[in-house]
Amino acid sequence: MRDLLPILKTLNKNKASPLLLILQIALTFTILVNAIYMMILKEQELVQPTGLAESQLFSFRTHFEGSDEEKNAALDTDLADIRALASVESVSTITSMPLTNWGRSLDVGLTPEEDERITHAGYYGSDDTIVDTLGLRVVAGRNLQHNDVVHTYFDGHTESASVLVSQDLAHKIRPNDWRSVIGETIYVESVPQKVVGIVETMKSPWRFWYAYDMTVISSVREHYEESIIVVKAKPGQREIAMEEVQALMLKKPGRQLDAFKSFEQIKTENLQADYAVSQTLKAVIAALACVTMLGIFGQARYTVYKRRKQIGTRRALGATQADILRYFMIENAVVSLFGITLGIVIAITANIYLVNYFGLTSVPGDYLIAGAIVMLLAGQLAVTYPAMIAARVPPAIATRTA
Amino acid sequence: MLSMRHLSKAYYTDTIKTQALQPFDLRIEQGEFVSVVGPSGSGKTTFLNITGLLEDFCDGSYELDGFNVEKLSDKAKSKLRNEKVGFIFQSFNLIPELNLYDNVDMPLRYRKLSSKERHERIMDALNKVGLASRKDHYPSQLSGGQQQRVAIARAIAGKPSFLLADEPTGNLDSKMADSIMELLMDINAQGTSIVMVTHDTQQAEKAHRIIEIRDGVIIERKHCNKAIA
Ligand SMILES: Nc1ncnc2c1ncn2[C@@H]1O[C@H](COP(=O)(O)OP(=O)(O)OP(=O)(O)O)[C@@H](O)[C@H]1O
Ligand SMILES: [Mg+2]
Repeated sequence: MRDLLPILKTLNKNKASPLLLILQIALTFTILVNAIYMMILKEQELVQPTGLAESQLFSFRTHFEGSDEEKNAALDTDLADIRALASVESVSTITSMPLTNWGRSLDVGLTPEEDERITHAGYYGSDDTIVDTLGLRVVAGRNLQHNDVVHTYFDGHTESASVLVSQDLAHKIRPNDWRSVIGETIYVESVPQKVVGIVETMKSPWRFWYAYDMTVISSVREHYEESIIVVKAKPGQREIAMEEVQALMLKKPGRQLDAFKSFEQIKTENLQADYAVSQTLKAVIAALACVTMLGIFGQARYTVYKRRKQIGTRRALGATQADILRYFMIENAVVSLFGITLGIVIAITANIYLVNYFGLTSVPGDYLIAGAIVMLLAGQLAVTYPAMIAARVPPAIATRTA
Repeated sequence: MLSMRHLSKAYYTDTIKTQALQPFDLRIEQGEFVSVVGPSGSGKTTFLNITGLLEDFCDGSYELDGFNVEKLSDKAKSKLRNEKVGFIFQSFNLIPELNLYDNVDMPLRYRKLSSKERHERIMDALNKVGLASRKDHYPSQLSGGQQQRVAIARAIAGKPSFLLADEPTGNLDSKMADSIMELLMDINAQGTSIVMVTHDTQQAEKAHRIIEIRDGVIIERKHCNKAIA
């Protein structure tokens, strides 16, 4: 570290060019740390499991006409016909599907009073087959049963019935003992519902919603003009099942099918915009890192070129190649550390602002530390080649240049 | 003491070979002051660079203060330069961003010396060249002659056996040149050997011995018959 003091003095005497580099490193650091944090949050969202048997599911909308009973009977027939196909394992009707951005969000509380609401939750109405069809896992209490099921034309949430809740919702209601929610009556939009079981994971239709993880699955089956049917194919047979179901449904006179999609399609469409954002972020991060490393590289190359004579003089007066290499590595580390320190200050200040005014989550300290280490290493990497060139400057330069 | 035997130097660029120094034998005793003269391009700087281990030679052998130079690694040569040799350059080669004190300190930092000892040596050297009071100044605040004095202080602070100077007065007017010569002769009088390349015959005459180089051929031209200190 015997070079440290002279390096600091030299930088202090000659501030302009290191200052620019320090600023560049600081800004890069701030942007990189924030961008990487955002990207990782996004990526975590993208891979978050939905709790469904995703690879076996597909769903579609179809419509029914006639009286209440006729519609209900037609729905029953459809479900029975589909269930009879060899490629199909299970089939249900449901009021909406997760990740489709379409469905019902309702108040949930332990009393009917609206202002004592605990949270919102996504609402699904279906019947005793839905746990099997979606591939959910009941982790406490029991599954919905056939005699729980209530039939209604529309707005099933206005009926009292037996319901399942997601574990996240149970936990929200009873943070200390989520299992104790079983047997409780919860009020969904002020309507009493009896919780009979808890499923491990079931998501709402809206991914960005705060209550994405909190859902109620009720045993009220609706037979609206437009119903959603979800099918679970036998493992590995989804393509066949989709073809067979489509052919079967289109054989029925005047029948239309809408939004006929595998669950992966639903998910991909939902994630597409985010996926693009995430990819763009990655590209920006990589480009920015490259630009900064190039900046460091260029600056170091220029400095080495400008100081050829000084390097030669140092060599002539006894510096070894390692001494010269070390000099430039330390100089870069000093500049990087100044830049990173400034960057941390900017990042923290910016974060306080972002958190206060936009409600964004602040970048955790780990990211700042990791970012600092990465920046420091990247700087050292970028300066290695110029420093090696510096070390190879022949000492004879000292007497050979004016 | 240094001794060179059958030493020669050639530069190879593309297909052209420049024989910068023809094979020669030379001995320089401890305490000697040797001037090197000769026309431009004759090989004076080449000779000085080889003497100071800044360049390698092609054939022959070279022994510097008991070290056989050709067998040494680059690192060992750097160390030897640092401890045995002090360099003085025509254009001073001070580091503009460092003050005089830190400039003189520079070669000392490549040694394992306590900061107290470094401080003593720096102040001692600056005193010898009469610039101790300006230790906090920067090279740009000094005249050329003063800058060369700082360079001399830097060269002698390491207490070398040899001072090598390539036209140390080449960039100075004759008055300043004289005072630099006096300083060098003082230093020589205290036992440091000096090899000085110069164009100035008057300055050259002040040495114990003059070596002339012509087209790479080293000719011992003259002994000035002055006693070596
Ligand atoms: N790196 C090199 N590559 C090729 N030729 C070189 C190199 N360095 C020096 N020479 C040649 O070697 C010869 C001696 O050069 P040198 O610099 O030693 O001369 P000099 O006596 O110091 O001249 P001057 O008085 O002009 O400083 C010259 O012909 C020069 O062109
Ligand atoms: Mg020369």
